[in-house]
Amino acid sequence: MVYNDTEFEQTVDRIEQIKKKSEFQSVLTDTLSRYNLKSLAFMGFNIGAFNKREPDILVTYSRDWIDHYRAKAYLEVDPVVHQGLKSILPVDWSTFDRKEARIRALFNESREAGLGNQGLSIPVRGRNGDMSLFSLTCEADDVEWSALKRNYIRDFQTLAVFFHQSVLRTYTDTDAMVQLTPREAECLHWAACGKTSEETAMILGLTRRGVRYHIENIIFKLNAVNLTHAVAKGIHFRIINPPR
Amino acid sequence: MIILVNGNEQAEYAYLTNKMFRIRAKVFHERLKWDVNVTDGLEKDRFDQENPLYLISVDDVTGNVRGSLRLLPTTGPNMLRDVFPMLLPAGEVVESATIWESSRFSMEPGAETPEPGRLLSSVTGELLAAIEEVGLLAGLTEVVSVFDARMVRIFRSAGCPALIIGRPQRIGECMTYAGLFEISETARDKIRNACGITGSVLEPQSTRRLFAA
Repeated sequence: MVYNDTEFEQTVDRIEQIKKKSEFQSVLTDTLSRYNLKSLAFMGFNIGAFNKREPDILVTYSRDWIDHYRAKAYLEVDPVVHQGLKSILPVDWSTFDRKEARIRALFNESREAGLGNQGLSIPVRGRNGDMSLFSLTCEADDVEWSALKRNYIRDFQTLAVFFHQSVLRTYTDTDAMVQLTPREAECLHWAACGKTSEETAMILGLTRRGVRYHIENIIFKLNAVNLTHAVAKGIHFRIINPPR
Repeated sequence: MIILVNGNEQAEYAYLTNKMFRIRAKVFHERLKWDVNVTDGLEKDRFDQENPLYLISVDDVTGNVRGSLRLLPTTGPNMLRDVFPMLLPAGEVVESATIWESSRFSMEPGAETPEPGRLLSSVTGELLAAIEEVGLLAGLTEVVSVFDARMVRIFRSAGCPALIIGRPQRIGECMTYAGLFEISETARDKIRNACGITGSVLEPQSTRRLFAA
């Protein structure tokens, strides 16, 4: 292995010290050479703005490969994207079913583009509905890979979370960082279930005034106009998760 | 053996997951009388909607579900932070890339009785060994859990005593603890020895499907 614990810690420090969006690229490139990898890719969902539909993407891929990927519309079939976030477990790309011609083409062409034949994706889950997938690729035969994979998982499980938090810190508006107390979250939950503050008070064994007080705080903390607005934000940021 | 199922696959694995939720209702609602929601005989809470990873113990011969637990990353929503923060000193949280939370450890009533000559039942052993295996696969260093006195005894018998963090508290009728378990090959082997388990307890197909062991 080409790295040791000091390098791991240095990488963590580098990631933690990121202050501006413009720094991510060089941190990724440095990590790439430190770990002898072919590519690194961060794909973040629900990070930052309220109405964001597109994921945030930071990659070390060449411009050519990105353009090619877009032109072929590989996003439609890419199992990394479609399966990577299904589980909290890291995903080894060698497990993907490559029977379908387009998926096979995607992996063959990505290797030609210099991405390496092995890949690993680590899902990260944040507090407020923010999620990301941190993927790495390298060139290794299957025997080497089974040994390398363990080391990569061990280090990148942590690096991925630090990277996620750095992106969150630099990209996020303050709305998404809101922390409700457990009691506030409960009040918001029951409001989202259609309960009045009187009913919520009964359910939680609080006074009506107590519930009102919590709701005022929730509205303030979420920077909402009223309780309906707060419920919408609460669901969006996954502070609450009322039954469907 | 242990079958791994993602929370968002509940529909595809409804047979297994419904059995699991039914056992949870029997254990947490009927037996332990915890304040949990049971609908149509199934016990589910909001963390079941957070796409946890379920470890489900299934009888090798009959295919019956015998017990289960669920894992959630501590970087996302989890019970210690969102439900039991009072177990930790004010302002302290367990939030780490390499620590996941285990919750809803449960088994079919009767399945916790050890087989003759053993300290722990095979289901208990299988579930604990599976936490170690999954933890090693995912690159974890520890698993954190909120548990009651009944579990403290189980962990001790399994050779994996918890490192109690924060201060235990009486919640309802139970003393409630928060504890950390080491994830390592040593810890895994201790559990295996204590429970008479010789190899991997993970069902290979589901492990391959989710991860590639």
